[in-house]
Amino acid sequence: MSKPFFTLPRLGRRGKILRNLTLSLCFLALVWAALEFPLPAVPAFHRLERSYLRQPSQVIAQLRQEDGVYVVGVSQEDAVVGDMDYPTLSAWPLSQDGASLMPIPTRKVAPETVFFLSLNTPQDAVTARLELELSAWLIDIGPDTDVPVLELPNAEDSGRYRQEFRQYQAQGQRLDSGAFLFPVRAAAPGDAADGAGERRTLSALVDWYTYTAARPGRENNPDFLITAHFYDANGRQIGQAVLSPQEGNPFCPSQP
Amino acid sequence: MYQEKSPQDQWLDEATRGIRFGDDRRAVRAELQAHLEDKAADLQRIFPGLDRRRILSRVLEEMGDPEDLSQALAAVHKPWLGYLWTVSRWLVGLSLCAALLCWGGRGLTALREWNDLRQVSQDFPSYDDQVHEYYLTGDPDLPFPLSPAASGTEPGLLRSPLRRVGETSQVHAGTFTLTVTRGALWSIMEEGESEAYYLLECELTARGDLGQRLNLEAVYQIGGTDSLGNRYLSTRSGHSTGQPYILAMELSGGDNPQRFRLSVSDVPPQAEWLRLEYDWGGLDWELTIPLEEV
Repeated sequence: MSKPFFTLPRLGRRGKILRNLTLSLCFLALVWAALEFPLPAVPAFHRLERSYLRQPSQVIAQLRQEDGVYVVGVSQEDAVVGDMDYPTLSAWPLSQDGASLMPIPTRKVAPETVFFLSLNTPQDAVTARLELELSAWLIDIGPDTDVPVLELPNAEDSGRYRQEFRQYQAQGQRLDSGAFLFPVRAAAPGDAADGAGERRTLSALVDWYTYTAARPGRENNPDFLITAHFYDANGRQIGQAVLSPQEGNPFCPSQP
Repeated sequence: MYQEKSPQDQWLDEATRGIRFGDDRRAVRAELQAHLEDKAADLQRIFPGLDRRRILSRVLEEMGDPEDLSQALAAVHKPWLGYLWTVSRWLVGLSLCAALLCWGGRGLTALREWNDLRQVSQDFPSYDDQVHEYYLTGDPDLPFPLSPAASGTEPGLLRSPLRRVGETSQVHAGTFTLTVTRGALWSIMEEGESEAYYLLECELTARGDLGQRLNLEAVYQIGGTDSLGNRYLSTRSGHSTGQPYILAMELSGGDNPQRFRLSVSDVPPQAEWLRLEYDWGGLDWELTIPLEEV
């Protein structure tokens, strides 16, 4: 019987273990590739930043909303929010005038809770509180007129519109980065008569279009004022941040 | 009914008791048993008159103290190596199954899609792709695609390339390598008009490390300046402002490198180069596109 041209080396137990572990690593790498290289939230966020041709920023917040995980990072000029479940990045210009507030966007149309994040937070702040006052014009549409949408009333048909006024307060959750996360929860249950309208309104507050479309003198719907107060360890207020369509909004041109 | 073990079995159990890993213990036991049988067969041959029981008794004596042997075997056959081997076998089996599951269906789908795409692009390139291709080649003799199936001279419109994109260097931006591969500055004049308008069309390619894809939003941040000092805003800041800007869009058919179309209106025909400028998110770079006369 002729000698075979090539024979695999006979491996001892240690060699077989090494071979099996190496093969396992290769197969697991294939599985990782098939799943498109998923990473934990923060490394995935930095990878997302690189795909947007940005330097990795300093992560200041990571939160889970009803529609997935969001990561927030800050650079010299802006804060970026990464929607990690539908990988996209959005940039919010940083204010150069001290503390500011940024809404955390969500893809959910009618969220139960929306979030605001403080930026350039006073360093000595240990607690923070947020107050929100808003008014919104709504009209019910749909085959059963049960779907509320935000719309300013027109002169001919003003009777079908309703205006809602709401106030909220939220205690800030201090994060490791020193920033504060403010959750604003809907007051009415989702199946209440005014529940859907409230959720639509809250959704508009964290929709960045509300801020990019704002112009001085233009009527906004909803119209709102958010004020965050920051306190030191002695309970003394040491800073404040304001956000409304025209104030504290980096996308709205300054009043002439 | 309880059956007492034979002296041979008792000896084997005692001798292999120190080997804690089951597979090894069974293998060594089988080996020792074979050895015992061989010895017994030899003795039977030498002393054919001896009965089986006495032969086995003699063999067990010659094999030695089973407790001593047990300690010696335990020192050689470490259990952790055996358990690790079992784990590694399970690991390679499970990971192979997982890889086949993930890639089996995905691979078939990808192959089907690739085949469909290849068929479609060969038989019927999109009209937009044909138009982009026309402008990017900068070839004055190439007929303009009037429709997906026909090309020629568009009545009432005169197109001519004035300058072509020259050899452009590469720029490394983050984990991407960018370059402009081709393009042309066109003069387009409508019949009856006294002045032509000028349009620069060029192709930006992006190659990412490990196949990473460049997001179009990054390309929207590219602005520029030409050799005459005219500034061009980026798509993001210039769109709908009425000011000249670089309009960016992604071209189909590019995996790695990706292909983007940069379209700039009102670039003067005297411009000898256009410099792409980027400064966003802590990253900044420049890339100069030479424009050579045709």
